[in-house]
Amino acid sequence: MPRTLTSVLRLSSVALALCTGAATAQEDCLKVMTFDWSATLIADPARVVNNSDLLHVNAAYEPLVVFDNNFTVSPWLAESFTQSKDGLEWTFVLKDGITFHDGAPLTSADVVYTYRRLLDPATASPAAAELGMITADGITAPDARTVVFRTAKPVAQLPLLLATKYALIVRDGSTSESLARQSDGTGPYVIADFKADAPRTVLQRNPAYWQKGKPAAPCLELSGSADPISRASAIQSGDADLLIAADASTLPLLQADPGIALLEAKGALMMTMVMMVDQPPFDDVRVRQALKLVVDRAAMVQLVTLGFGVPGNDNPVPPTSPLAVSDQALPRDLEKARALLAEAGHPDGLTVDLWTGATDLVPGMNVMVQAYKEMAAEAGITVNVMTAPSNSFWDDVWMKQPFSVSYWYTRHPVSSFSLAFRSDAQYNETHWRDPAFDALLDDAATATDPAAAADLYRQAQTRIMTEGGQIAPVFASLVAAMRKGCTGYVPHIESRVMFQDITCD
Amino acid sequence: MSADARLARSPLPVSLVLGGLLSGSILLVALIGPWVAPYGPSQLGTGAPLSGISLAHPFGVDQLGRDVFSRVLHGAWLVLVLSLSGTVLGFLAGGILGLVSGQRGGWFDWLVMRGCEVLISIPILVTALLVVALVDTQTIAPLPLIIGVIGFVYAPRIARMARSAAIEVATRDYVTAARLRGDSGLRIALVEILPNVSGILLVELALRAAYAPVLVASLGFLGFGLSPPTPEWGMIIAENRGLIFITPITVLGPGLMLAVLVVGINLLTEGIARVIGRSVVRTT
Repeated sequence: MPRTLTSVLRLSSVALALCTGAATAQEDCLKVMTFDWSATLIADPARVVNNSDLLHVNAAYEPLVVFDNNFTVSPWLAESFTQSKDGLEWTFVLKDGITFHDGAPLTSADVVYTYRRLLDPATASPAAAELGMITADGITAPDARTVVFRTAKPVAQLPLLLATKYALIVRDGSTSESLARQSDGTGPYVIADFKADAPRTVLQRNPAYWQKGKPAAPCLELSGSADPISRASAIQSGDADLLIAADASTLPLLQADPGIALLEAKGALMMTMVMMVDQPPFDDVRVRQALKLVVDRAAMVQLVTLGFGVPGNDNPVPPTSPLAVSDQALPRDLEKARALLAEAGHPDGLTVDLWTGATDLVPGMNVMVQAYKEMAAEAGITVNVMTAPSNSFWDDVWMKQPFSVSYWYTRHPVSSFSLAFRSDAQYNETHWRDPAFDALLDDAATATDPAAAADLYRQAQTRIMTEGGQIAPVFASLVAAMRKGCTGYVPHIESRVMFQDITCD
Repeated sequence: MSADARLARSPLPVSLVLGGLLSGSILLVALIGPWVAPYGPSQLGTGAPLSGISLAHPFGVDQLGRDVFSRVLHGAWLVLVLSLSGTVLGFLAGGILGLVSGQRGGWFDWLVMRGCEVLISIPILVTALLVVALVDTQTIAPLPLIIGVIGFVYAPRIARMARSAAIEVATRDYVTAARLRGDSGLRIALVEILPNVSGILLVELALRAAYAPVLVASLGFLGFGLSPPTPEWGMIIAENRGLIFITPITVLGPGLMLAVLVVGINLLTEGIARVIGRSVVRTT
């Protein structure tokens, strides 16, 4: 039966391609497929939204520095970077011999322009908030290959913040309009004849790319499909060489295919249930603790991600991170949960409403909710699953109902804590306001000793784990599927793709 | 010839027997399902997740390790109750509106019929989704909402049918006599007209009831129905949609049950229509 259905799907996708007259793929192109193809593609790195946008700009532009899945930063267009003794200045020296697509050499003026453009409110880049501790005047270029970032107080994680996905170096003077016409980056592929509403895009190799002999493919074809089954079918039939994210439900199918390799970035997506700590009954810390204690985290990982994930410990740092308090999952303790509930005045159990989207907000979300409902029932907690239309969930339910689901892509604590847990955080979904916690974050951000900073972040995590309003049982992996015969792709926690390294035979 | 005499003379139509058997079997499942189901509707860990068809799990096991067969058994009554109550609601509202409208005539009839035509011109599922989207789902419980939605989309269709039947009967002498007697419009509609159009309306009711389970399941499938983990069939199909290549039975099982129910009620409708000497007019 599966074979027949696959054949039907393949035939229909071929028929669809013929009918729509979509740009015909060149046979020797590297074909990469994503899960969310935007109806209005964006080719400006400063303003990317969807994964499809990110793929375009990752192919044509490159960053000053990059971070790996453990948030270790290394230079990319930079050759080296150093921090001054007082911790206020970071100096980046650029690699020599790198040119833009139009042949002009990369200079420090381009880097200064790129970061000043990100900070400019007129650009409307989400990066402006992340780079809040830098001012436009603080970015200077003493010579053609050196860039200096100066901050008012020491920022230990500045290179990490500079590696934000929006910070890809563009030519001095570029605008959103000029970038939408023709890419002018240093990346391995060139975007020409860009159409924002194209169903697929073909990019040509940059013949003057600075890494000699790369990229291997003469062209790169980008496309996307929101339907998990169509994506799985595309890679099985050879219509795609690489799927950026395979849906958990199709993983057993892809796993069984000898022609496909699965690659996993662990701890990429945190799935959570958030309680507002100032709303009853969640305003009692014992209730929050009881609601956390009922979770069987190992079982949750199996059910929600089919094993392609790691357990979470109710805070945004995955246990796979070197910054985590522990690499072990918190244990389940139903007796203690019942005792805490009784102490909090609920000896006969508790009933709560948990809000989620009518359809999965991310794959596996409603599996998590239903599993949680059953796990909580064993401790006398009745969880009523309430659903709202998924397209209006973030506007009407999230941060409005006292107990709802949420999810976050994994970030370094310097970003994740500031975004969702600091007292004045824009997305403080748990209403967590704790001056002692804020002080820990401030101390960690300015600590020049990495070990001391890590210790402060662990203390901050512990506060959220024990008293906060976040139940985070699962970190789902980002699982990419690659056709056998292709090499060079490493799944990145922030979905960054190093296209120049991918080759297929 | 009375229906009884007809039944006594000729054998029952095949469609009536087959339809009765099929819909009867689903009715039986709805009545005893929750007591005979091997597992609870949302019981986790009943078998290895995503394991296929087996004697212990005839419809396979879903991602959460729940037995899909048990979920289908537990959900049968829900599908029937939602479909039938929604249809009856639409039947009552549309029937009364149509009868009164046909009997009264004039501007009232014109207004009601134009309103019904506007609603009928929009496809059923689109109207249903519009209503669900407009209603504040955070305050209205999903069960009455779905019943109300089915009633709302069916009422104008039934009203039009009832009106045309009523107009035909309204010209008869005994209706004119009642009018001359000074009976009220509602009384004429209920006492004089209704008994004489009941055959047509009965067939219309059964026909609408046949499509209602599909509407309920469509709403559930699209995520506009009940909340998880309610074992409504459309929701079970939606939940397991991604597993169609891995364990197709988790989708085909509930789909098959839905098909049996819909085909069963359709055949039954046709059979009843034949017995009472009416033809079935299928409209959307």
